[in-house]
Amino acid sequence: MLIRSLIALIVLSSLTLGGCHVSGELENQAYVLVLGIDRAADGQLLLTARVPQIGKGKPGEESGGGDYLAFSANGADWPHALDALERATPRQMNLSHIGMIVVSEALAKEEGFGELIARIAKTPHLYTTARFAVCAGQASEFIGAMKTVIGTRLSSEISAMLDHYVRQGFVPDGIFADACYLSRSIYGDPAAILCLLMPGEAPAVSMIDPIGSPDAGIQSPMRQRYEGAALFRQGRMVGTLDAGQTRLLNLIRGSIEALPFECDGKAFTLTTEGRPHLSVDLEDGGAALSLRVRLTTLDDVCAEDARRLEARLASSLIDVIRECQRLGAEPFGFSEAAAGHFATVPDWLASDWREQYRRANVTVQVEIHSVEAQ
Amino acid sequence: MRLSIASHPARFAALAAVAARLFLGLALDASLTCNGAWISALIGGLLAQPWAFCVCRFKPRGKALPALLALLSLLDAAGVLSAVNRSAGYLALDRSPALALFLPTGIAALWCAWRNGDAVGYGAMLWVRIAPALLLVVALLQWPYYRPAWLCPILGSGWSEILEGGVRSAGWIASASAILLLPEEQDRPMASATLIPIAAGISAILIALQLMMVPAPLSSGGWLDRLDALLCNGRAPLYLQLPMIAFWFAGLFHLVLCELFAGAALIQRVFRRLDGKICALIVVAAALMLSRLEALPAWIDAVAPWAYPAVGALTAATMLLKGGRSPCLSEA
Repeated sequence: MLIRSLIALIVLSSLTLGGCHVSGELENQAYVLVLGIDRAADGQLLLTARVPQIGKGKPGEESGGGDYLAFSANGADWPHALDALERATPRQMNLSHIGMIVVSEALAKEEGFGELIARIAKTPHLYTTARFAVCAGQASEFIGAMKTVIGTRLSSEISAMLDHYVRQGFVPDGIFADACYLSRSIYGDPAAILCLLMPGEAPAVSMIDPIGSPDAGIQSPMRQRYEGAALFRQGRMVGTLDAGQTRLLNLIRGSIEALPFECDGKAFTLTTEGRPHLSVDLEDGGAALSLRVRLTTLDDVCAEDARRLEARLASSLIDVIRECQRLGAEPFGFSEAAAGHFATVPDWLASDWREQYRRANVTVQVEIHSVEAQ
Repeated sequence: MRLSIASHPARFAALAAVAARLFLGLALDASLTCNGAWISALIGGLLAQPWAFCVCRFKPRGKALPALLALLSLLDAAGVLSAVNRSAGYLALDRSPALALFLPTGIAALWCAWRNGDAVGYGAMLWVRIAPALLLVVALLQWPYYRPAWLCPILGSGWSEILEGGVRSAGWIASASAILLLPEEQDRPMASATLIPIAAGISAILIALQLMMVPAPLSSGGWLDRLDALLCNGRAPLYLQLPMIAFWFAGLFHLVLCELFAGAALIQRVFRRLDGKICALIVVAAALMLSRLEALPAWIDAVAPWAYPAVGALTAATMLLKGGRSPCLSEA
């Protein structure tokens, strides 16, 4: 009797599940893979969505084998533009699988961009693991030119490609949620992926600019280039770092494990020994930022070369930190270290940390150990 | 039918309910304590522990305390039901009517209450054993994304707000652990009272984990923003949401079940002629109606700072005026 009652209850409960009347089938969904945001000529917000065309591919191919549609719509602000995009899309627009959000540089530099990020973040399910990129030109054009190159699906193509670049350190990890969180938080600032679309149909001659070799002369069928970082200060873009500087930024943030580095014409591969140690000393006269990095190299390096390498790397790291100080952006994590000196949030906010950071002295200590020498 | 529960399962029900209530209250409902929310949970646990020992050991006489706790449990259960509905609506069923969202939880809670206290208590016992494994999976998968530095400044908005959060927490503990009043034979009162700080400690750990995922002061956003940050924080992969969602809904369900059952049983202690099934039906129906009121969160927010002082004062007054070991609680 008990089992029968239980089964009857479960069956009856299932009838009340409200989700049944909203069909969630694949055919009824328009999964947005990439979302572009621009400022249109008339001052409105222009949204562009890249959506896979389901069932257009050959039998056995996934997600249409590379057939994608782009829908665009504009509106006075985020809710209106999103509503217009929903109307432009002939299916239920599903934002839960967005792989990348691309914003034009001009829009990212606008005064109220921080509020726009906060507004975007309030859109349910939008920023689930999406990456955040700033495009040097129009985001709509950038998205329109996107296609699968190596993979079979754009969604996995984007994540695989960006994971690769992040591992190499050419771009910051640029998680959109982090950009939202840090734009509104009491700590540091986010860094977004910097990208651009090469003009014309000609492929990009150089995908990346590794440090010390600005033009590697690499040929690629892609028109998009992903290199460097877009720096933000309190939610607004204030400057950029090139691919080499971004590698050093990622080294300081502990995001990369290996760093190719060139010194006096010789190339070395350095491996990190744990996360770099960031500390902040708050004195009466101002703040002092300290960074300690420990690296290992498999290359045969004599003690003299190692000291020279350390000095060169320390100098490069100081240059990157000073550049960010000049821009007023703090993407490294010194803010979190400084916040630990305060008991309460009001005390921390009253300390005028940002101004202290801009004027802070920087000390970098690099230790390089050669495995061969050991 | 007399609604009752043995002391051993009641302890587990209270443990699960208190941990869930403090997390819901401090991490989602109340945003005032910021980084110091986990300290508020610990303070609440320490504040409420003597009260829990008093009611378990001495069992105050009279009907005033059961009546007050029944009201608080009912109000709290309505708030939790509203949280369940909002969570379900946010996750997938945003176009569903509120009644359709409520019914599965309401029917399940009513059925459990009709099966009496042991169904509630032993269900919680199972959950208490499953939850750590689920939490371990979540914590391990999210490990690379935790940033301990986001716990600083350690006191958040300051001591005054932490203490206010502590007093609110003690009030939530009183309503979530009202089930501890129900056992007719209290075999280990000290063990029952000790579980309050333990539950508060568990809740403090959960809150600290959440604070390491999302930096302050994002708690100043809306309730759904905070839920969004909790369930799909934007950095963890999609598949990780499944154990998080299972953890969230199972925790809330045990909380609402514990509070509804305690509310119904305490009403029966006040109106002894009422049948237990009728009491459960009344409490579930009342919780349904209350949960649909727009003013409910404001009511809960207004009651929270005064709940523990009121419960504590009433317990003390009852003990002084009428003494302990009430026949109405220990008889039958």
